[in-house]
Amino acid sequence: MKTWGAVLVLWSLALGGSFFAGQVVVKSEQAEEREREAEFRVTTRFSEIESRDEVAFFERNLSERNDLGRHDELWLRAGEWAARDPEGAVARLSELKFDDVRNPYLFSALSQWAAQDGGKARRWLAQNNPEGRDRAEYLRAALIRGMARFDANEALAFLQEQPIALQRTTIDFVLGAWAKRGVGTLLEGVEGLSGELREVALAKVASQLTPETMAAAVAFSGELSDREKRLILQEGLADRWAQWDSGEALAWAEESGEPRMIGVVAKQWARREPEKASDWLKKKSGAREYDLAARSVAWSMVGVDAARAFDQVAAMKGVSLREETFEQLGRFWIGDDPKKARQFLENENPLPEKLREELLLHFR
Amino acid sequence: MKVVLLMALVGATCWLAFELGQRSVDEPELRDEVVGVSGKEDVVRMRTDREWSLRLREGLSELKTREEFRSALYRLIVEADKTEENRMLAEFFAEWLEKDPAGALAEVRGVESLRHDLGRVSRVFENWARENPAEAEVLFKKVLAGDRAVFLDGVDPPVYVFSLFGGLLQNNVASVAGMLVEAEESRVRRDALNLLVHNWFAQDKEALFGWMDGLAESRIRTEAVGLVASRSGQEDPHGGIVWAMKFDEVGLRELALRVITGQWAQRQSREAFAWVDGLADERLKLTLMPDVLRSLMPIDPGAAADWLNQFEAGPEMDASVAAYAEGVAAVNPAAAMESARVITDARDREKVMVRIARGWLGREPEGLKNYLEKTKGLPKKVSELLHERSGQ
Repeated sequence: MKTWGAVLVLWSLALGGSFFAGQVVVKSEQAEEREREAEFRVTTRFSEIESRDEVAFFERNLSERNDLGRHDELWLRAGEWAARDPEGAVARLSELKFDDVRNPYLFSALSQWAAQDGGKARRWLAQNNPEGRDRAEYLRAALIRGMARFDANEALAFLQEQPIALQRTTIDFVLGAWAKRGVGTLLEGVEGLSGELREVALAKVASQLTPETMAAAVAFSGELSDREKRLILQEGLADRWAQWDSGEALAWAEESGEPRMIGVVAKQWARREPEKASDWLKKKSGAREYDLAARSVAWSMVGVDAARAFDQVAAMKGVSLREETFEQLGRFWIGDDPKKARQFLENENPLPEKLREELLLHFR
Repeated sequence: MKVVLLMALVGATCWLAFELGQRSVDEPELRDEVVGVSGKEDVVRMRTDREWSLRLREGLSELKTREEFRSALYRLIVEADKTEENRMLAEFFAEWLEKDPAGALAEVRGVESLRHDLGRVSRVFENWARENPAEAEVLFKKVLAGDRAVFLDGVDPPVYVFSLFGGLLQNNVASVAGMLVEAEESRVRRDALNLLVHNWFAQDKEALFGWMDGLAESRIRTEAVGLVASRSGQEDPHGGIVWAMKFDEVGLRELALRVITGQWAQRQSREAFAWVDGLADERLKLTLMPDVLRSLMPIDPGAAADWLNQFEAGPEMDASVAAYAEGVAAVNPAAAMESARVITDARDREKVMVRIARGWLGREPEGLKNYLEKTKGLPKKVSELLHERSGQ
């Protein structure tokens, strides 16, 4: 009995030791990897000669930057240069003769510098503020992008000092940084914003979601008390959700009863399966909240089965939206397939008489 | 025996515990990773775009099914920021095309950001088709056979389908042309033919003409003639005229000449006008002149008026009179209306006068009102225009 007891104790110890050893091995590998990477950086700092080589590389290739492959290589190279010699890279790249207010390679380098040291990059830009609002805002966007890579709060604080137009275009960087830390961080971040920036962020949240994180955002949206803001968010969510699961998105949109949400889901669904979306819509005719959906589905159906698309439009309740859609679809179809369009317009069809005559004028 | 079994059991469970221990260590959070490196550069802060790209690309080669690609696509769009998204998407779709071309083609049109900036990804599709012509042909034929879902929201042109087509064209133009001849008439075929003609015209004009000569009388032949004529009119009108004059069919010859002279007049209206005016074939001259007059009017209305004044009004002059009247409408609408009254076909006359009057109404309603009050015998629709406006 004693022997078995001792065996069990030793066995447990061996198990614990093995588990611990496994952890130690991985942790030490991770640490070594970091050390190696850091060592590489330290030992490969740029020399003056290397800097001159980089400048020569940019001067040699700049004229071919319209080639997207070449542009991408220059962009990546600028970032790599800045990773090792931020001040040198930014200073030299800012001197490049450029025929555009936007110098993307300076953007890339400055962004890289801001990721490494937001404060220094910011000071450089303050001291070397370029002439012209567009150029200055473009480079401030680079700072925001870089800061957001590592510290979303630092990026957000700087972003909030900027004009609203720049805030609107750069909030994506902050949202992306939050999203990388998890949907909870993303939603908390948006919740913490205020004013117009919050509305902009609410509209853009959906673009940061994956199928795995959608449910959390949907739940969060339901807690927003302001209807308009809730709708801004939910419309975006419905649109995004429908891209990978039209069925679930549709159920949610229909439950909300919001025409805009139903409309965006129908649009996404009809892009993939116009006939199925059209069949579904047929069962809904008669309800005004499906007008926007009918319009979206009709646009996807007109190339597949135009007569069916026009029948769908005919079922729309809102008179002005219906007539506008009839006219737009009619004009499109005449351009797309004049022979069939003419045949359709000249025979029995649901179009209003006046519009039908106007469209037929194309053939005279 | 028991001891051996026991040892084996202990060994196996210890190995299992070791594995579990390894797996229990998470990939460190970015911030932790940085904190963990003491006395060295901040590794994560130092990570460049190229390194981020490599990280994002990790696992791409393991994707196989359409569902796996779709799901990875959404992750990638979230992971990549907008400055790198297109670059990453290009790499992503290159991989997808290799494994599941139909899936890649079906999904690419739905990526919102690519609707506005499609250069890189479009090139990926083109390159793939150039390198994989047999598979690309299968895909393109499917679209030609009526896969109308390629039009996003029914209207957006299927750009990536044409990228495939562009790649195919770089391989074997004649075989691709044959594919279009066999296909049913459709918007995709029309647009593809346009691409083919422009491409072929630039590369080997004679081969294109040879292909067209070999085509039986058909809609595609007429369309191709129109496209070649348009290109010739823009680049080499004299050469185009020589080519057009060789057609035995009167209809095709006139179509080609009309397009050529119309295009020519948009660039060099006086030269085109002089050439058409010098034609000995009076009927052909009157057929070609209206399009030329439209371009000549803003440059030299006097020459247009002098030319018109040589002729008596008649059905064969209606189109030229209409071109003149509409050309002068912005400067002198009353004179334009009077010129239009000479048009002999009642329906055409009404149409032209309504168009002139509508423009006049928009610019100077009082002037039109005065004209209508003073002028008798105008078409009913013209007289009613003012009421239509007040009724709005």
